[in-house]
Amino acid sequence: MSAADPLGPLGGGNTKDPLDELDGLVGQSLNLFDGQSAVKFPEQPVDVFGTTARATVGNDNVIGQSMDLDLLGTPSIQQVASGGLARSNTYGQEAEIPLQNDEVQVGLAHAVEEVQAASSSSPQNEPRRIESRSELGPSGYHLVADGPSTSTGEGGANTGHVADAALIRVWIREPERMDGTNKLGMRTTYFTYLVRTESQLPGLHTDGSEVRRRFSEFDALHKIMKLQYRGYIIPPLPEKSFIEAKIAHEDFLRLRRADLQAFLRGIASHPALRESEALKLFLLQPGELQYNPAWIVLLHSIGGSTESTEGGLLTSPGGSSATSKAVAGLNSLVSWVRHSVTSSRRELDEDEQQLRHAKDLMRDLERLLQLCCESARVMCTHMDSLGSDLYELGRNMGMLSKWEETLRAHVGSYTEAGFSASKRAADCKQLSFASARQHNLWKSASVKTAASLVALHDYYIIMPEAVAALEERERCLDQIHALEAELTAKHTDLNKSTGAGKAGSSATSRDRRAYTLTNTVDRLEEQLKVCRDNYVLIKRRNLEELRRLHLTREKDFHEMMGHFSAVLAQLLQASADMWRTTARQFAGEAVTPPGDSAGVGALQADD
Amino acid sequence: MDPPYESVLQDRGSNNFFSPVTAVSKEFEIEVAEPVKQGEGVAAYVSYKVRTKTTHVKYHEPFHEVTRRFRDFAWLHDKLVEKNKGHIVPPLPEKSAVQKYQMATDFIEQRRRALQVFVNRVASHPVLKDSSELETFLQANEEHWMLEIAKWQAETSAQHRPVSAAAQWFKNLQHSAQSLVSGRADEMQEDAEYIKIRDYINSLEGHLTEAHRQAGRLLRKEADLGAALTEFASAAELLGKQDNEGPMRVAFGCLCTRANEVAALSRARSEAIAVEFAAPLKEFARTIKSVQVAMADRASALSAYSQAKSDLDSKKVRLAKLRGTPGLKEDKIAETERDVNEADQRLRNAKLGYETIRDTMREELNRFQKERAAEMSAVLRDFALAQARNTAEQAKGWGELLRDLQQAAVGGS
Repeated sequence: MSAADPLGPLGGGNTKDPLDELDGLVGQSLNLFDGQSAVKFPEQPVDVFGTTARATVGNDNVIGQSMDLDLLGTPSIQQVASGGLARSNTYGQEAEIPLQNDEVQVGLAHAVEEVQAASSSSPQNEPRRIESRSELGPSGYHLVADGPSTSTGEGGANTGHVADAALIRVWIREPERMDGTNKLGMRTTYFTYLVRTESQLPGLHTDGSEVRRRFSEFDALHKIMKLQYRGYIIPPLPEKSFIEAKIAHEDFLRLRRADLQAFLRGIASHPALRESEALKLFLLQPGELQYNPAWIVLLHSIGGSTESTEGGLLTSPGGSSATSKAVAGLNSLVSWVRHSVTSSRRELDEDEQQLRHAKDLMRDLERLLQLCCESARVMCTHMDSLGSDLYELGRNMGMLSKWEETLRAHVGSYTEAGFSASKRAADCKQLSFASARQHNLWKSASVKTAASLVALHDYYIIMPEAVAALEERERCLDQIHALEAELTAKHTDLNKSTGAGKAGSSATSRDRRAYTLTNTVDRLEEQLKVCRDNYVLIKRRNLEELRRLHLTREKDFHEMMGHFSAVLAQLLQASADMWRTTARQFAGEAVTPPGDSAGVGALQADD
Repeated sequence: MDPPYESVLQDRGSNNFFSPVTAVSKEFEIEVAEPVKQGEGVAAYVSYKVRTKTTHVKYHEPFHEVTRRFRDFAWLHDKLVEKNKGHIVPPLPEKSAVQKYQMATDFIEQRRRALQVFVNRVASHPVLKDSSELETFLQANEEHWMLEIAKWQAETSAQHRPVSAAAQWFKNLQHSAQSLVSGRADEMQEDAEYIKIRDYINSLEGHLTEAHRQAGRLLRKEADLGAALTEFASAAELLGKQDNEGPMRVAFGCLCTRANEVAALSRARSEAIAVEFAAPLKEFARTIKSVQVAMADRASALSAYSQAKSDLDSKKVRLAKLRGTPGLKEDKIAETERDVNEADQRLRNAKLGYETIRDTMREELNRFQKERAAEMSAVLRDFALAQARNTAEQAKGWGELLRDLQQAAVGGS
């Protein structure tokens, strides 16, 4: 026994109970949580996502708000992690999140809300513009805006506003199987989901309306959003899936429901997107949307082909199909231009350059997030596996205990052999129980850890959407360049034709040509103006989104890390307590402190 | 750090009301120390200093010190086994030729500890502690000792042992065949309680191995978790670096540092636990083998007894036949009578032999079981303690990360 190791195993003479040393160590960790939300380190299975999990990061306001989850999975929207639980609780299964599947996409929605609350002013974009280019930091999107609370640190102070921000609340439940016939007259099976809305948003006031929607309607909504809100980051939608729908796997339904819910919540908490007419129709209009005239109009705007989506020139939400048709023909031109007129020939202004740099950073970020997600998943898998091993150990110890019991029964309890057998049986049983408790702990820890890191996944899936939003702007710029090129060409033609006439051509044909050319030029100039306006709009939206994204990301990640460490600290604390108790129980039997009567030891030994 | 179970050696027999008052006064305190490598190449070996502090009456002086090597411990073990049939002699540490050759420091240290445990166990065994072999081992000077060793080596190199074992085996076979043919089972049966305990001991080894394997797996899993945590920490750090000088970089940096700390700590502890608890489990396994040796001896003794009995019976039958036959020479009958007497004597010896072992083993088995129960409790307790400490330290690490993050948030950035 070395003096340097106070907790070393007992050497000769048990003068100092090593369990006392351990108390000191364990007690210190416990102090961490003093003065904050009640933290229990129980031996009963820890309540999943109880208040303990969030007892940190100094956001007392947030803690004060509701953390309770009911079985229908209606968490308060502030909780980043609640999405995970909502997903799993829908069918009454507690925290059975399959680790192979991705976590919930909820974070961004909540994050947006928080930031919006933090910014406290109108949800519109105006005051948050960058006033000058100098405010763009070295990384293109590290935008330091003037205005209130930009850093995560102060974010907490403003969370009092969070309660106000829950303007629209959306839930998706009750998937139902329906049979119907599709357009070709074939019988199909599909699922509908109940969408419930409560909202105090001015344009969308309701106390609780419920409609049934199917996936294709979600899909349509998504496409409409992408068209009408170019430049904004649109929450992603899960992919259409034909086969799995048929099999109607419970897991599939569970995940899809959660994905769809996250999608809607993402829109509902986006300050700009939630003002859309399409959303209002989607959420409030009873009956099937395909028969609703307003919806049909919207559907037309997205058309059947992807090309028109690309070329859609819209100055305001709602779009005009005339314009989109008019520039449909521009698409081929655009692609031609893109190939022949390389962007390097044009000088991109500083803003553009920085925004493109931002796009690269987004891509990097996506990659890094994927790495993180993957290693997080591996870590949680290991925890789970550790839990399983502990279960096995517990089971084996139980069997060992029974076996010792059999011996005792054979030789009789009151023989010496029987007596020691019963002691050993008791020991094995203790260890078996301890293992079982530890198993529960690690299993729940695995789930909780995965859920605490949900933000990583949320941001991971939003990155491609952010890149897409930035690319919308680039496409717009390409269109502008294409138009400008064409315009120049047409002007040249016009000049040539109004100049010295060509020999052999009649005056009328010359005039006619000049006339058509002028018309074309006028039309092109009109289109160019529209395009340029679009560009400005999209660029503005891009910048807003980048800033918003950055802020929310900071806040969310900070919260996430706090949550993560809290979960792990709590887990290991509970584990330590359990082991300590187990040790005490063994000690009670095997070690009689000097001076103690033999009887005490015997009493404890007799289970 | 002494192996955890050593503590139990000094702490026995005091905690249940069945034990006769075995005053386990510490008659011996033996230390095996200072391993020194001697010689070179294939002939190399390690010598140890064996220091004894004793209050035993047979020893003239309280302090002794001698130099011994592994072979010498083996002498002690084998002699004790030979002279104390039916007793459970503490097991010798593994003879590992390969590892010995490599002579790694770890291996030498482990062996030193195991040898210390061995000799102390012998010295606390109620019967073996009084043995003259122990006395010789602990205090014989170089000269005397070399004589003993030479004698012993001469004995073992002589081939009679393997032969006698074979001879015994043949006799057993013969005897069983005979009883099969004659339809008469062994009249001598083991008592029921012993049989149960015997079966129990035989299956114990299997259970122990299983427990050992599981504990090992558990500890490896903990190590894996630590590795995964480190991976995650690096990924998080990369993520944080994206932020250039912003707050996220700081926060992720904290996370990375702490997580690495926790992971490293956890890994180190798990490895330590594995090493610590491998030794006692292995020793348990070896002890079981010792018990099985004693049980085998008992079985042989029983067999010998049984054979002697049937031998006597057949000779008696022959005598009776001879007596009944008229006109036989007197000396023939006398010869047969002598045979009978001899057989009777042999039977008495065999019976005595068996009964001695039987009674000895009863004591020994009880003692063994009681010790085992206490030791297992101690091992489990220490294991639980070590795990508790391990996890508490990790919890502390995470708590500190939490504080760091909070400070970073409050301090503003």
